[in-house]
Amino acid sequence: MNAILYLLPISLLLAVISLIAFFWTVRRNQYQDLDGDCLRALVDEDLPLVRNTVDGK
Amino acid sequence: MHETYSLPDARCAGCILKIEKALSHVSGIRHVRGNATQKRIQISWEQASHSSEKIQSIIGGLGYTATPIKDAPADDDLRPLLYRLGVAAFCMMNVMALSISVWFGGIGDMGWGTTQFLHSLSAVLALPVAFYSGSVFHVPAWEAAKRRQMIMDTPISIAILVTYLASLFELFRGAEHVYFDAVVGLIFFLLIGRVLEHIMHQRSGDAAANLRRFLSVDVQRVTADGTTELISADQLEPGDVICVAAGDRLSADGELMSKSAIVDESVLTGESVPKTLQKSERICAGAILISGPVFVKITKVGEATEIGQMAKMAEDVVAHKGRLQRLSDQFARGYIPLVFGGGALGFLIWYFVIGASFVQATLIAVAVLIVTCPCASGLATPAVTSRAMNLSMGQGVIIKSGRALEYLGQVDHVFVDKTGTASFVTASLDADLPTHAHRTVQKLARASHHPFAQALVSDSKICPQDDVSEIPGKGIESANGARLGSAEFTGGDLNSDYSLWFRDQGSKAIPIKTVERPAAGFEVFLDHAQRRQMDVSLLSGDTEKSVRKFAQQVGDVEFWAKCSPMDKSKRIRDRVDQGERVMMIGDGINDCVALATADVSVSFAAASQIAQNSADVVLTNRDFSNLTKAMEMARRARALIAQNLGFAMIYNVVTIPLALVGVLTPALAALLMSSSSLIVMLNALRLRMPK
Repeated sequence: MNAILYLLPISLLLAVISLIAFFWTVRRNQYQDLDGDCLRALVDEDLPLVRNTVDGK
Repeated sequence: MHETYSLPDARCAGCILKIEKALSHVSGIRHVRGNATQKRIQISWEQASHSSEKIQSIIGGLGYTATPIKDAPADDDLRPLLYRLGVAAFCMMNVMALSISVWFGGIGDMGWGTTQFLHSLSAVLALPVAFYSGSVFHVPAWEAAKRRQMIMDTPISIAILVTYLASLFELFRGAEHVYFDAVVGLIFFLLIGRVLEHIMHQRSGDAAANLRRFLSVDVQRVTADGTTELISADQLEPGDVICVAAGDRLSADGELMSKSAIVDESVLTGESVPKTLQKSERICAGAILISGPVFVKITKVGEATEIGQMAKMAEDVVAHKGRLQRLSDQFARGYIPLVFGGGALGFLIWYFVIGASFVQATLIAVAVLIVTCPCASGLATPAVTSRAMNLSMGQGVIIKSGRALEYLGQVDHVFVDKTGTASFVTASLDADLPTHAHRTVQKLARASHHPFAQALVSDSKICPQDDVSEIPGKGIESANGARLGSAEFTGGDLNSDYSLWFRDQGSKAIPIKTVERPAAGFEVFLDHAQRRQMDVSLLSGDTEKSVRKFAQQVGDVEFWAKCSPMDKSKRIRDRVDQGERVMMIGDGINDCVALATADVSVSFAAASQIAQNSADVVLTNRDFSNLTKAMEMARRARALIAQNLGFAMIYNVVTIPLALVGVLTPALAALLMSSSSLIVMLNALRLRMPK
């Protein structure tokens, strides 16, 4: 039974980490555009990644 | 510069991303971010390099329309609710894990010390849920209590506090059972319902804001060289001269330049008797011109004008939270004493009659409090109504009220104005008319919104004739005696086929050739009416001959020719008095009385504004097949509302006795209550636009 004395705090700690992660996603407005954001990952960026640096932007 | 635009044409996330990508390559634009859910895009740019018009034209070049959302409604923030939901979810999972081990472990295996340890841990975990997550209910309940009122949140708030405190009391007593799991479960399930509800309201609010584009007003500005141009009302500036046709609403404050004008200022003053204004008198934004057209010099533009009015109209369109909330609060005032009565009854019976322990009796009372909460019956109608309004808005059908939606689904008799509503008019100024008269005819026609008149104007730059008056249902007359209108009005041949005549001062009336074709989707609409056993009648001020011709063309529809505006209204009144549900579809100033008489009235965005104001339903484009779909959807919506109300009733009839006999724990009661609201909302989502 003594195992729960340290196992319980560990499980709570893990849960708190996930809660913090959730708070972070809410703060970053990740739930505002559920229809659009999931598709962003699929869009190919056809321009070379160096473009921005070349333009000096 | 920073601006948010609505993109009503964007169909999917792909469209939004395309715009985003194209704009991000334009120099001078700092930041672009689209939102596919709201169909909006936020753009910020360097003031020097771009203007809002330029941004709009760039987006226009991609094939989309962008309209700035000036007064975006204060973003109803979902985040505070999400934080609270997150805390509730986190604590609930842990409290459940602890509680289940107590339930299944049994007191014997575990020992008193371990149980107490687990219970104390639960008490700590439940604390932020009861007070932080629960503040969603406590704060409004407390605010109401200060005003000595009870709202829907009152019993929930009390249930939370009572259960938490009773459990704490049991914990210190060292009792076998505590109910912290009930507290967190209750709050978690209720918050899920709240979040879903919030998202639903937000979507309808977004739709209303995007909709403003359709309700934006165009005005005719008279340019320096005497021609006119059509511009959006929000581009008006003081000093501009505009021409306002009869039946139109003035978009900005101004000064009358024509000799006199009759205006209806009922929106502003509540006075419904029209007022006559003389030259250079002040005329306020929002006033509707009864006579016209007149020229007005703009003196003031700004928020307090047409745009504000129209925005309000758009907000009325969707069943808005404020109104729903008020309604449910009113309901609560009568119902909540019953809720408390039921809870008290449960407690008294169990404590005194059956002899249960204090805490047990309290928990039964709490279960009754939660389970009787009338959320499902409160949501039954608005869930369906707002879904229906959103769907029809996507189809270009703006339903202004819940009542209109209700009637739309049970129409017995449809009256349709012929010219300009059921029919699409083309007119040609051909050889019969001397060339010098062409300009006079066009100048007269320019002054009116009548479909015949609109069909005549080939050159949109022609400036309307000054000092002319329009007689609804008859025609237009200029100060020097030239008339354009019906045969009767101009003295033309009453028995001829022609519906439109022109008479110059002192000469004979000359007929003008007009061709009428049924409006888009009108045949589909008639088919549907027949299938649903609705009678359709045409109402027209036109001659018998031309109405008959049109009625036969679309398939032997009943018709009434030569109706004055009053005749139209009387025909409808007759039907209404017979107990039929009557729908009127019309577009002109001459249809207004008829529109107001009918149970449900339909007009078009292109119709005169006075007609749009009188109508319960406005179609953004004149396509009857959209109306057909909306009516079919309204039928289904009615069926769903009936289902929802039936379900809510059965739910209460079944669960209240269960709670009273003590079968339901508070958490189970909360689960049942939230799932009943959820079922009602999901049922509303079954509503789809017919193909």
